[in-house]
Amino acid sequence: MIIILGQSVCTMATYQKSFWLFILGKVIFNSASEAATLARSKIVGIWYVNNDIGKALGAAVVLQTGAAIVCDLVYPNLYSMTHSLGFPFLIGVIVCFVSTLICIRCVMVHKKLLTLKGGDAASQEGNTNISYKVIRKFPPIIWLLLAAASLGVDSFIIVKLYLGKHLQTSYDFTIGEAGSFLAVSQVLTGAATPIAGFLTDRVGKLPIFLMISIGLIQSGVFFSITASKCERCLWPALPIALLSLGLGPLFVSGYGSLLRLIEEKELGIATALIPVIISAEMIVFAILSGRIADATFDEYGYTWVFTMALIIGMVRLLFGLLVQIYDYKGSQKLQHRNNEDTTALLNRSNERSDSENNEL
Amino acid sequence: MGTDVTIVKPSIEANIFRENKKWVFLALLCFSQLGQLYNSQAMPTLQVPFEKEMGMNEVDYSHLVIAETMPGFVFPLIGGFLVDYFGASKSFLATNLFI
Repeated sequence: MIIILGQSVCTMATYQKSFWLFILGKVIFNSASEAATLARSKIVGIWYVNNDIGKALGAAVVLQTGAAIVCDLVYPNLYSMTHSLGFPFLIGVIVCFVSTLICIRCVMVHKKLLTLKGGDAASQEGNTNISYKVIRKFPPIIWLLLAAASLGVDSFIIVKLYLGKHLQTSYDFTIGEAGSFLAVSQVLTGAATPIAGFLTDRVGKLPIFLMISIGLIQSGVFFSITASKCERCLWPALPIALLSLGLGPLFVSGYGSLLRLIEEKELGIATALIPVIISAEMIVFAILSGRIADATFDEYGYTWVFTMALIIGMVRLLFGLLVQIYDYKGSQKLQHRNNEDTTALLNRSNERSDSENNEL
Repeated sequence: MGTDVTIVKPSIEANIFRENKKWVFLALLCFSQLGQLYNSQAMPTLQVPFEKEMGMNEVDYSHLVIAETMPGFVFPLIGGFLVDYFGASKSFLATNLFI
């Protein structure tokens, strides 16, 4: 309901052309989205075990990508057709309502699982001894991993934020065509992610996948800066393709590594660290990129903004390399196909019902 | 014997249910995010119309990005702790029912 409220405020703001009301709507919408997302990543650990985790994460990204594709196509084209900023957002309110109904069905299925597990199953999943101090106990490699993954996402986000206008101003594409470019990029991400999920389950070597994904995104950023400027040509397709192909493997290898390195009961805080770090970094990078764009756009387009993203990417490549070295010389949990950790997830989720049986 | 059967049954039933429904659940889980995903991607393509119709400049656009990013900085730290404290299922039910 709060998501619907946030989207409704945004819709009202676009009709009234009130920038600050729109900001308020976005804050409400994103606060609700963040709250809804929190438990979802951990619920995957309950429903999916062994090598299903990679496939589940991959499939989740594919379906999520579908929604993003529709967004990239529908929002700009609805605007083009109606010349009203409010109408696409109004359609967004209806989509929010539909997803709320699906959400209720999803909750019912999970409740059924809990009922079958026994009355106390949900109660015993909690860890009342959990404390923020647990962060200090995380293996040091986590911080290298978080730095590599978060900075990787940051440079992707920076380029993506300005890509729509970049396509319209540097290549003379219409708003609908720019949306189509972004939609195709989502298709590539959707295709690359399950492949990455499958390969990481089969091969292991997650830091290598992490670095490959970083390399792809870096190449995309580089070509965004250097690609020839021309009227309605396909040159910008290359960097967009590279950026998109890199994001899926980055997601799979980043979260996949966390699942291997952190105990299930501490995964909530561990997975929460990724968006927190990305958001903290993005607040700084958004301020910087906004100032850079304001000062340089008229003369250079987004060249200097993308250059900033490239520099950020170089730093994350270094962290990716450090993850590989640290893990290779240490526990090697990320190097091989590791059935023990994922099997342990299955055992942990079942052990309470087993212990109940034994006690009885 | 009878006691053993009734005790073991819930665990087996739960596992069978999970196996049978895991992909349906995954589809529901993903599509339940449709509203937030569909609407959170809108800004990059609409930057130019926003600049025209709302008089937004590059700095304003960065403020909008910050407004979108800020909740991601605040919520997960508190929420992540609560998810671990109460467990995934309770947190999942609570966040989905209220939101």
